[in-house]
Amino acid sequence: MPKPPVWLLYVLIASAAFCRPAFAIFSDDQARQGVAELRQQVQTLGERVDNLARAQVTQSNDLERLREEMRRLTGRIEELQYKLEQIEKRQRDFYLDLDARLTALGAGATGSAAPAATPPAQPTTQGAPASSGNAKADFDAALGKLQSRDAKGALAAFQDFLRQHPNDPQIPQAHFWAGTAALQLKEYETARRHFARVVFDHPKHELAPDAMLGLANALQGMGDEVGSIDMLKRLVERHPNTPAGQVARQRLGR
Amino acid sequence: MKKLLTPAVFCLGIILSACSSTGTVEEGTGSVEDRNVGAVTTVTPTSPRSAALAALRDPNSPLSKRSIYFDFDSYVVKPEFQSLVQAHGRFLAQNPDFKVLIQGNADERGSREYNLALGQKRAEAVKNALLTFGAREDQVEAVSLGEEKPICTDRTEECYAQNRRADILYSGEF
Amino acid sequence: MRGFAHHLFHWRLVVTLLLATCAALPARAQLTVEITGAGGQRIPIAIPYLAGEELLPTPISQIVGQDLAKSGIFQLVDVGLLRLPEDQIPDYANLAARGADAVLAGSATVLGAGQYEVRVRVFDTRRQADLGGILYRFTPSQTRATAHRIADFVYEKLTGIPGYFASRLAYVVKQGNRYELRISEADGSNSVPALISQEPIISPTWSPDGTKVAYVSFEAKKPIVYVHELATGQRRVVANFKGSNSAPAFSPDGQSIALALTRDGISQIYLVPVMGGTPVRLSRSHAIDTEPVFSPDGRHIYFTSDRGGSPQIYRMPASGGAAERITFEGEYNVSPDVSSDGKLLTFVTRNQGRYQVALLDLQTRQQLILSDSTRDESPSFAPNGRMIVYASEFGGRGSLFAVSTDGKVRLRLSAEGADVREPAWGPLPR
Repeated sequence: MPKPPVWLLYVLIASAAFCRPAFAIFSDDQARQGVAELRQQVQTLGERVDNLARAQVTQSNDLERLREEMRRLTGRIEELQYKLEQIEKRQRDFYLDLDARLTALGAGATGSAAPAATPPAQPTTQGAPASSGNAKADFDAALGKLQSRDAKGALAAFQDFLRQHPNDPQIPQAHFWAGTAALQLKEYETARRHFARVVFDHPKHELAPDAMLGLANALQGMGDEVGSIDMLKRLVERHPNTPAGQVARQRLGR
Repeated sequence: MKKLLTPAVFCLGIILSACSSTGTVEEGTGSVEDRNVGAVTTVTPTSPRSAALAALRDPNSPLSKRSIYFDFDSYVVKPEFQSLVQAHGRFLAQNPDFKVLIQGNADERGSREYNLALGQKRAEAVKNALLTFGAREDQVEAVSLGEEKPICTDRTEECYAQNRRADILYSGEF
Repeated sequence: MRGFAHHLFHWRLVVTLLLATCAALPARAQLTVEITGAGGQRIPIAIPYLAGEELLPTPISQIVGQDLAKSGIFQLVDVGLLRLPEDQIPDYANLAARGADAVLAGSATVLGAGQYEVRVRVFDTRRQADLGGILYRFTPSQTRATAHRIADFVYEKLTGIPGYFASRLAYVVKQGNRYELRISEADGSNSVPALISQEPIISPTWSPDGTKVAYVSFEAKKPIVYVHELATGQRRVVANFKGSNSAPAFSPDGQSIALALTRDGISQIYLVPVMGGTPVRLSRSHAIDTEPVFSPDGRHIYFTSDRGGSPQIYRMPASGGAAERITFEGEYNVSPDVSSDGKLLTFVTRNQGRYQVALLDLQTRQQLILSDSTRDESPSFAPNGRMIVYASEFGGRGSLFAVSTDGKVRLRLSAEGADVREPAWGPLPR
């Protein structure tokens, strides 16, 4: 920033006082008039300099305020960036988990991993008794809620499904996903009940190992460390070569 | 601005010194005897430094006021303090052998080191204004006392406001 | 370029230098310790008198017991007048029956010529195992230091983590217009002044080898950074540049000091050689950058900056460069310190108008508030990273507190009639 040379003005005026030339160029009248005019000019210039200086102080205040605003915005960007990274990471973890589970499910009887391939109106013929079209749609809607991270909605939807279609072949799956949703909501007692139905009512179901792992997690959440470890041990014993069994072994090993 | 003004001011200086051959400066209400009228004084019975010191101590002079107060969380010189800072800036321009130390302060809430940095921002704001009004860079040092030297120690807003302050100290005064 | 203020004016220099090692001085304001927070599970340990302990200038077993009890990790089991030399197998069954899981056995001998010897051994009474022993030779003035080293030995044998009892604290005591930089034992006791001044002293920090303390003194009417040799009382200006000089932090190799300077206007972070010299600018922002602290591996510098509109902790490479924001919770996070393993960050956070000590796990990003007070300042890790000392307020005065990093143990190190602040926890002696 250029500094208005107020000091220069004063220095020159002061130096003028010390310098006394012995000759006069102008007549006295001219000189007096000239002096008066110049005084006027000096005063005007001085005022201008002062005004400029004041304007500059105002401007640098404005600059500081702008910097402040910029800092605030920088901070906001930093925070949003951080939040975005967190969300992306959580979403990635969630989908990896969901993908693994859906793959496991897809290998099973109902083919619910690819709902789009099966129009809801058309009854599926795979496996034993098929879901009614209505039940299938309800199940898919509930699963969709879980997929869009609406654990609360998913839990309610699966529980509705269980009430409305008590004889549907997808009952074990519904219990499993209801348990998973409840676990996400930290409703451990609810999770325990749903997983237990899979584990004890459908011990041969392909989701039974995963349900045992879920049951162990629910028990741990409830503070029942002994029960949780016991469930992990039984899982290793009964399903040693499933992914769930391997996770259980790893956890017990630690 | 500098480029524009310099030749004009320079010519003025020469012409004025030429005119001073008359020995009197007649303008306005000033008489020959009144040495204090006008910007030019050729005879000073006391040394310029002691005259300047007297001006600094004159309670009627704006120079006797040395404290600039700041708003909460603010580091800009408020308009009501600009004439005070202007007076000191001009004084330093006129008295190039004078130097000042600006001590910035902060209220006591939070980290001592961060408050030290906040006090520095207040001192720098005053320093920049002084430079704008004509002081030279090497005449002014801006430092901070942070929250360490409060003039008021109550935990009230009035008290915190008194500590959000920068003080101008002339060399020899501290 | 030095600030002209230092050259031009005559200061009313009111600084008295004292030798930190001058232990003969009675400490007027002894600090006391009390446990105000409940600990979790503690290890019950018996610390009987050493055989021949009455020959020592100071009873060592008592100091060891106090140290261990104050850590909040141990619980002392009273064994009456039992004496247990380290070369005998202890009566495990009897000790276990009294509730002691461990016992410290030992004996003291006078070697003559003002020399003493202490031998100790730690036993596990449940597993009936000898966990190892150690021998110390010392002069009377080293008795307390020896006791602290023995406590560290026991701590490490039973927890697997090095102790901190033989380390020291530096802190500032204000009494009226008198400021004292004091050096004390790890629990705040037996403090001796290293510097007395009529002007404020802030931000003391230890050199990695524990022989020096750097601090900011206002004795020249502006903040200037000094390095103070504790053994000799000699001190040296390391930074007196135009503007303010503050917030020193030693690099892990002890060769340089990171600090905050305002020579270019706003506060920024620079690096200067420990012997003084030309500063190198490390941070470049249009905002306040201050309170640097090195990561233990020396690769990063954590610091406070308000480049995001509010003061937060950032991290940049130790050679300068782009900074990454570390704290995101709350609008005021300042005064960082890093644990010796580099995994934990402690700082002061403003939480609903209260300034409290927070702990951030740098890997999991889990954040924890460790104190329930309102005006906490200057948290500093113990050398083993398990305790944090900080300044807070107690009874209207500044007081020192220590809290364990799990938040379960909290101690108050209080001083009568004095305002205590700015603690810095030193390293273990080498």
